[in-house]
Amino acid sequence: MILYTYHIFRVSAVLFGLGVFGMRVRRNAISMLLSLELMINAAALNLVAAAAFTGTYISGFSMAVFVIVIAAAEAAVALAIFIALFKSRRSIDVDEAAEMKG
Amino acid sequence: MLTLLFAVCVIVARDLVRAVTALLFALLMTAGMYFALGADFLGAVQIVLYVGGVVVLVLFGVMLTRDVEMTVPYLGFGQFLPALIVAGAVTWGLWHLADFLPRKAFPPVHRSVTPILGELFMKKYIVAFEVASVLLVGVLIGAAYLVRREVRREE
Repeated sequence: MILYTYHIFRVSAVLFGLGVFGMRVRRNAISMLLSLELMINAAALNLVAAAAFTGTYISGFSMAVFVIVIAAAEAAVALAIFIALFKSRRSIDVDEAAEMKG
Repeated sequence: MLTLLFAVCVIVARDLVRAVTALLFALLMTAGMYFALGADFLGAVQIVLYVGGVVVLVLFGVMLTRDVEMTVPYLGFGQFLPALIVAGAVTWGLWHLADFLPRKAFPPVHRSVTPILGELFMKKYIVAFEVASVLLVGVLIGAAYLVRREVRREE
């Protein structure tokens, strides 16, 4: 099967949309983190596809590497926050952690 | 493609462990697409960092923050409809953005770009590389500190 550009772009579009949808529907913090990972993956996939598409592989690929690194860092921080949150209130539902709301 | 199927499973699965497993497979499929696009180094990074690192991390998070009930409840339809509208609009927009691109097949990959990439990271992008590594160290220390302090307060 020949891989066309718009195949990848559309896959990443749907992936991002699913991430947005999951972010909105799920209220469990870890589920939201998973949705976030989906969205970051869609972005990285788009970067790689664009880089491969234009033939300038290197810059896009290196940017995608940094995107993945940032995503890993963000996942670690988010999980630490979730664990701290869980220890203080026995729940990671984001609606219950709203007392800092103005 | 199959990636999307697994991505749907990530959103829909009630059991968090199942959701994480579905995410694992979705990420693996993405790595496969990287390989297909000629980004072999990126595919390897994706497998090692995401499938090996992040998924295990998230699984630990699931285990540590699990309460009595195993599944997470859905929210009602009040959230469902706006979510569908927003996500649908985003997907529609991005989908049709792809129409502006010329429809051509990807050029075949002749050689691996990994050596060039490594040289680039050590020369041109050395600052970004070092900043990323310092950021990762800072994140690890900060995460450990966050969790540790809460433990002490509980004692």
